[in-house]
Amino acid sequence: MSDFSEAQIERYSRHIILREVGGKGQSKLLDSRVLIIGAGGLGSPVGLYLAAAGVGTIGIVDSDAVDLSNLQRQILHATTDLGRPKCLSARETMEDINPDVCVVPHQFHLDSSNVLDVVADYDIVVDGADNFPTRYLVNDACVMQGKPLSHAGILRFEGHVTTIVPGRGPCYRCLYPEPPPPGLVPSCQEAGILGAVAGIVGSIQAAEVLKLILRIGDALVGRLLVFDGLEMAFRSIEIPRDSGCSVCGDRPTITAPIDYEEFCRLRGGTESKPEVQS
Amino acid sequence: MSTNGDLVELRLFGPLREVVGKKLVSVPYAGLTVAEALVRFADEQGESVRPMLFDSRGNRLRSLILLLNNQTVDQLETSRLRSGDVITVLLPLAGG
Repeated sequence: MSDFSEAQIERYSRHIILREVGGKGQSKLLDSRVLIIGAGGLGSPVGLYLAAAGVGTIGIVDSDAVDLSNLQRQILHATTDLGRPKCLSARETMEDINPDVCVVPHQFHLDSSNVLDVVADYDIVVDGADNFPTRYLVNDACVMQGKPLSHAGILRFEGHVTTIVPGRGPCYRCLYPEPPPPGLVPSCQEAGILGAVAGIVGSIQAAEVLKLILRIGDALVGRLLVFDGLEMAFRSIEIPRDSGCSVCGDRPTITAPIDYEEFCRLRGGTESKPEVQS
Repeated sequence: MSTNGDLVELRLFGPLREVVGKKLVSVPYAGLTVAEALVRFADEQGESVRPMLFDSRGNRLRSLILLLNNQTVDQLETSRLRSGDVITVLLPLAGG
């Protein structure tokens, strides 16, 4: 257990008085390393809550710059950040909230050549990406390295969230073995997103990450939580692991990360099962 | 001619809800299998809905989650729908 300063005892007092957290749990948070994919609508509440909670090292992958149209929901960034790299804007906001936290910017595009190296440095990964290729890439990398992954997707007034713990429950490909055809499911840019919906769903991801670090409660493993913001209703759907899953199944056929272009080729390819090697 | 005894409900989410314009649709599909119900629904709804359920070769998309009464369906081709059943159709969401 780390020695807390007076300021830390005060800062984390509302955590420390929780029987399920205590000083021991707070030390775990300070010693943990979490990677957030995307400093956008989901990554913002995740980043803010993890930083405030004292998660010691937080990596952020994002290659974009802050745009005016982001600010309606991406609450890590401010008007004064327009044009700045999101990674750096996020780091400043998070370290401002809590100087105990070290934010590591990864200002590049994730692809099959770098995803394993980036993920390897962290204990838990949070998927707040805005596209399917990155979501499949991150899922596959986390399964291959046995890293827990908090997954969420949002659109308009709706959000889906689940927690993937390789070996304990289904992965993203068990839920959706293949991405939908390009153009079928619109992006938030195309179809819109109520800012607060990103906040609600991202906050659930943050809570899941903290629970995983603290090893308390029941994670959303094997459950997809579907949030309907217009109805203001949550539905919990039980999803089993698919023993035939191409990445986490009993006989995986995807054994190295693949990029979307490769994926498209495989989907349009022959009937034979894909054998993908690095 | 359908009667209330034939009706099952389709609960739609995401882009499918947008295209159909409703979150719940009552359809006289009792007696069909879940797989047959999806084909019938696509036939009845027309070309804006079909690509959200089937590819150009008529194969059901592998990016759908289908639930019968909130449970995953192991036997899509053989599970017969009964009056009052609810089929839920979910597509993944990319947005973040």
